Amino acid sequence: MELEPLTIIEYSGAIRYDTIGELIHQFKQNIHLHGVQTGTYKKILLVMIESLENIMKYGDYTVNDDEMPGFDPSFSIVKDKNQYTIASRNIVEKDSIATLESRLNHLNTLNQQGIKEFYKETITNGKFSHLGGAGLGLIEMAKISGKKIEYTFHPVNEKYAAFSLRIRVEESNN
Amino acid sequence: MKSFYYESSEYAPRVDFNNLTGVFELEGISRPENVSAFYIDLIGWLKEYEQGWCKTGRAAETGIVLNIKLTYCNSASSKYILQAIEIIVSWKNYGILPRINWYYDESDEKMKEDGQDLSDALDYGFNFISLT
Repeated sequence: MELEPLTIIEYSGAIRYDTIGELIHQFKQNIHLHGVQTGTYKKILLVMIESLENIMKYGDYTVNDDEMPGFDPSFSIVKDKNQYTIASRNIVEKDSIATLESRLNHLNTLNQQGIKEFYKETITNGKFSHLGGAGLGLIEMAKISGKKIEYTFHPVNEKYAAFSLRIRVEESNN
Repeated sequence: MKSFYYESSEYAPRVDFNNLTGVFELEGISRPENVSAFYIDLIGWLKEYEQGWCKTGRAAETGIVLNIKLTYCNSASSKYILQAIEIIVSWKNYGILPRINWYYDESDEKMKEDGQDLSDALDYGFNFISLT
């Protein structure tokens, strides 16, 4: 019998530091009900943290922004067969799409060894952004997943676009 | 100077860097609310320690051991942890051979791999110690 995809977490709303903590608690409770290997659990948790922290630092335009009312970031973790999909959606300024897309495309051209090299290069030489990110989040997610990062940008108005990101983590045997 | 001690909280690690023994420990989860503020203090302490203890030869007498026992850390923390280890490793110039012990849970391949990546990035050997 085919099992239906199972939603582990589904959230829509502002993402702040405390929200991430609450979602981590929720994830820990829900995931253990379904049984998961430690190695896989850790990978999903780390992708989740990087993904939510990216939204917190770069993509939370829900508050007091008259130009973009009512667009909440969203986040979900869904299990389908032996694969977990960590999906997020948030608003980005259209001006930042080119840079973001070029980084994602670059990551998608690299194999696992290439991603490791790029990670080492960035962690030793990369500069911190003004928001405290080290430019490592996307690389870390690609490194953990081992699969191509899926993403889309959908324009929502003159200034903003909705950025959707999907990272897949295979269930491992340990 | 005083030792550097920070009690762990839900998302910040326990930090216990003891200048008298030369044993430095970082343990737990690292996802503090303000990552830069958290680690900049620690890095400042290491620079002070270098002046007072490494340059004067006192650290060569105690030796330096860094024990890292992380459950998980976010990528911004990794960057600062690497900076801290880089400073400690640079003390080999004072005739000290810092020992870096990277502890990991056997079932957690990711944590061991993270240590190997940092060790490779610094071109300095860590001791990998299984906790199970």
